[in-house]
Amino acid sequence: MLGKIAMGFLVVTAMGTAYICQDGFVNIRVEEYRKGGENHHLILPAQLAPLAAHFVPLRHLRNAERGLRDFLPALRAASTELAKIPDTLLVEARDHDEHVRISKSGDGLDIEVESPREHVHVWVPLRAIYDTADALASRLGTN
Amino acid sequence: MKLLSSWKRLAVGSLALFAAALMITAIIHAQTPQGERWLHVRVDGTVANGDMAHVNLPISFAIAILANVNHDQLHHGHINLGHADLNGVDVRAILDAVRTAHDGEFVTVKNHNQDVSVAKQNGMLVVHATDGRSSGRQSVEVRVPISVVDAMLSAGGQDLDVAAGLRALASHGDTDLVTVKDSNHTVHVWIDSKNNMD
Repeated sequence: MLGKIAMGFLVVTAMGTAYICQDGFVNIRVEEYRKGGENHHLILPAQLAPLAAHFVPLRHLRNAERGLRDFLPALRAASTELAKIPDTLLVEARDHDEHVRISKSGDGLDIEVESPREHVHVWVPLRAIYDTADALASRLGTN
Repeated sequence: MKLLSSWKRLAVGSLALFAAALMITAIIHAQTPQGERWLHVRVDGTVANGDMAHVNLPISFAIAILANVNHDQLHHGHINLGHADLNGVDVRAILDAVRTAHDGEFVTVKNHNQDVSVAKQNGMLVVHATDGRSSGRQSVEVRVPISVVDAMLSAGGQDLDVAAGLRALASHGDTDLVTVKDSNHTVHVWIDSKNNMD
């Protein structure tokens, strides 16, 4: 009996892990240049973002509803179209203070910001962007 | 008999695997965008300020975004000029006049210290604008294939169909579209088949 429960628990855990990890991982790296600055490196399951979108209180979504309604379809289209193109540098901008690079890299979007204060590097799977936009659209009833 | 059956099974299995590999290859090739056109925007500041911005986007991507944005004057790839403040310039009427005119016929618009000339040359709409008001003189040159103008005007009413314009643009060869120069920045917009600025 205990064996069956353990097996069931194992199967549910494995399925949950597979579900959480299905979209890959968001990779965030922050390196502070100030004296005593900290370095952070976070690797988060990308599926957490659309999952969180399902649980955001509706009143918070309503505050941003107009903007979301206008741009969520574009966000979904963007992630779908980006998945079709080869790896490339999409946007690069530099001023006296910051240098920003946004590239399509593998199955994700690579965002890098370099400033005298810090270096921020984020990689987000395109699938997660699509799923998050989809989840938000679903919550707002615009699907 | 049993051995022959095993060989047959092996042969059928190999054939099935080969067919599957062929199908996968065909699907991968079908999904790879062939002859993708890229829209490039390059903004370079002077050496003194060192600012710059470079954008490389596939035209199909730009069309997909435009077709899905529904905000202010932009609706599903159409820009509504009905309420746009264009200093009294009727952009749609000018585009229509140029579209139906013969090569070399000009429309000139003078507004305060700005000079704008619009011409049709070898199937291209060419717009030159200079602004002498500011201390640093600014010049703008826009070159757009007439087929793109046709596509943009196809929306009718007060709308310009920008998405249709981009689709028409994608069927053209390498084209310089916009060049803007002033004392601080140079802006260059063009399309080609490369996904970088080299």
